[in-house]
Amino acid sequence: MSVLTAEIRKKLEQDILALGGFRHMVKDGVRRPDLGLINQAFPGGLFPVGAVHELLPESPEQVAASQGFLAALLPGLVGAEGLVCWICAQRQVYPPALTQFGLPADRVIFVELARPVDRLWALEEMLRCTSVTAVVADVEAVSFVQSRRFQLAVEASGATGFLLRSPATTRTPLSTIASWQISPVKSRLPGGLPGVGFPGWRVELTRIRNGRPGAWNLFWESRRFIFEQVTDEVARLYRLKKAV
Amino acid sequence: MQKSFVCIWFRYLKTDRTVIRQPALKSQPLVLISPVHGKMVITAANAIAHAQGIDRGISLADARAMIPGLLSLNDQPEKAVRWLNALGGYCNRFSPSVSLSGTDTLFIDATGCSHLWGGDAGYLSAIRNAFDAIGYQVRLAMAGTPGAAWALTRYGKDSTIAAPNRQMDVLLPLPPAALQLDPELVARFDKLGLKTICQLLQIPRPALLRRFGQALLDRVDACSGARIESWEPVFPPVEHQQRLASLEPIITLAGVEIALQTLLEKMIRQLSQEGLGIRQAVFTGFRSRQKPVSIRVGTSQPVQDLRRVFRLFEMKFDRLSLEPGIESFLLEVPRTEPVQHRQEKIWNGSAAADNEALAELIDRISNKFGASRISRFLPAEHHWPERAFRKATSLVEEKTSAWPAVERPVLLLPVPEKVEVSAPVPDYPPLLFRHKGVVHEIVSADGPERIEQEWWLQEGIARDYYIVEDKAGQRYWLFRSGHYQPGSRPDWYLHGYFA
Repeated sequence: MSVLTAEIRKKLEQDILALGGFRHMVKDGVRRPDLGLINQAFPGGLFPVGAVHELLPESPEQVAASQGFLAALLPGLVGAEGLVCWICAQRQVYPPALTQFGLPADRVIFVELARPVDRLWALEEMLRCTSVTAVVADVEAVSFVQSRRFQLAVEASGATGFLLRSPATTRTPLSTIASWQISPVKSRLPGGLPGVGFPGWRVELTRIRNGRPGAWNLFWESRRFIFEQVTDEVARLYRLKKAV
Repeated sequence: MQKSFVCIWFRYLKTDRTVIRQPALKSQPLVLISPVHGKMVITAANAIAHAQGIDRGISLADARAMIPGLLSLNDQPEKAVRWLNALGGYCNRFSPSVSLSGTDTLFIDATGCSHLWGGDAGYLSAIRNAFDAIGYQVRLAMAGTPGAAWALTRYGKDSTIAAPNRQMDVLLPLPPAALQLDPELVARFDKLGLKTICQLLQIPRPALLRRFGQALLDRVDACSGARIESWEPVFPPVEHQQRLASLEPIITLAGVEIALQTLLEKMIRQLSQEGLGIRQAVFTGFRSRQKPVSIRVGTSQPVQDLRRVFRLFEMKFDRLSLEPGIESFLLEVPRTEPVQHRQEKIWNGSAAADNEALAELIDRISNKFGASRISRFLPAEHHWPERAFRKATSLVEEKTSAWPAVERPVLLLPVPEKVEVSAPVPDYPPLLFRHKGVVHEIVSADGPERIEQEWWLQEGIARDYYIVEDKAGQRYWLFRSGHYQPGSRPDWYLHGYFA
């Protein structure tokens, strides 16, 4: 395929995304996190901003891993000085721990609301606000209609939302751009040293609209993601892409 | 400026209040009683009972002998001051400064107020009509000092208005008790045949001082205005306030919105001239015969934007009950702050450079749910994990020290949870631990990190923290509470989850 056709194809893909309501997702010049190899799974090879992601942890360990992954991802989204809003029922994130992931806790505004309804209200208001870049929300039951409302809100404002769905509740399908599951994997220490090393996660992108789901093992080392190995699925996609 | 004060004496405060609550009791003698030394003594009597010679202090049995079938109810003495306070709030429509005295008297600082009601007489009749409408019998007087006004309500003609600076002239024919003196002193005057204040003041001052003490002269001076009495308003006056009276009682929300809009416009014009912004604002509506209704909003930073404050109020309009119509509005700004542009320095360069919109959003959330729901954290210089951070006082406060560069779990349990461990060697990490019925086999560990209690804050035992990783690669923060001692086994706890 010639370079020209590839360009036309890319343009068409972007147009389709834009028509589908993902205006901010494909816009150039928007700050977005660089997730290395995972980028290949996203539509257009760009992390979807201006959309709502959901994270589906199933145990407290996975909640912690999801929070760590988000803390590592968010500075790429909001910049070194940007603010993150974090809505929760009762704050369990330990502020001093966020610094090691590059997100100083003084850049996070926590909103603690006990009632789920209030949390959803606050989330929608925040997603609607044009000066909010990223919102993380611990949510329980969310209806499909509610998630459509979030999607419409971010389409207008360009904010990015992350729904951290609590392990205890039943999970109905939502209108979100992507579903993630982050679980901890054995940490890594160079040279076989004893002790607990750099945190490692298995990142499963179980659903991504217009993208290609996949799974990756990665480590948070020296303030960046280090990939362990490319899993078969992604390697195949990667090869395909190269071949194209 | 010539001061003037109105004294309102609620002669039958408690019984009037009872009748307002139970209108059926209106036209019969009524007394309130409370037990004193094992017998029921009358503490308040209504006007009808009073006219038949019943007054406070007589026992119920005696009163029943005078009026058979006298109705008596239990008194609630502690409530009188509360009622009076509420009436003081009601009086705020006549003047911004109202003060309480005892359990049955209100003073209004009427300086510069009465012309709004067409002069002193009109002012007093407006007050009387307002209380008549509710059902309180009052005695009123107006004078240049609170003391003189008090004397006129008790011993003068009702609704007396003392001419400016001539309050002593009207006081002269009154008995000495009108000066609010000690009862003993009053009894002595009576014995000496000093029946009026006029007779008393004919005695030279040095003689009065020598024979009756400084207290008497102080009271005389307070009534004449030679000495200024201390004045404690029920509601401390607010520096920034705007009032708006309506011709007809406002019953619709649209009318309230117009009133708020008008008041805010005036207020913000005044504040911006002084370079101030609103941090807290209270919007009050005075209803006829009802308690005033008010809504209060707060902002996270000084605001001069009318729309923004208006929207904060708008969120609380559902709490305003308009029945039976609002007669006048009051907008107060108890907290202001100079508008500075220092925030820009901190917020600039961030994705949230347009901080106004975010600050407004935060204000809306905190007004809806309470400011304590919103928090930002800054490092605190403590090693104890629960104390290693503190709440920032504002959204723009900067940290004074860096976040500690130590390994900490991203999810910290509010209360450490007890776990069962198997630790064969003291001072070594455990081999496995059991939490909520699940056994975690530990493959690698870091530690111990001993964290001592900060004895100047709290006594207690030290914790030895271990970062452990189980077979599945899940990382935990465990600690042992205290040291190994012969014969005792310290407890182990799970305190957090690492990412």
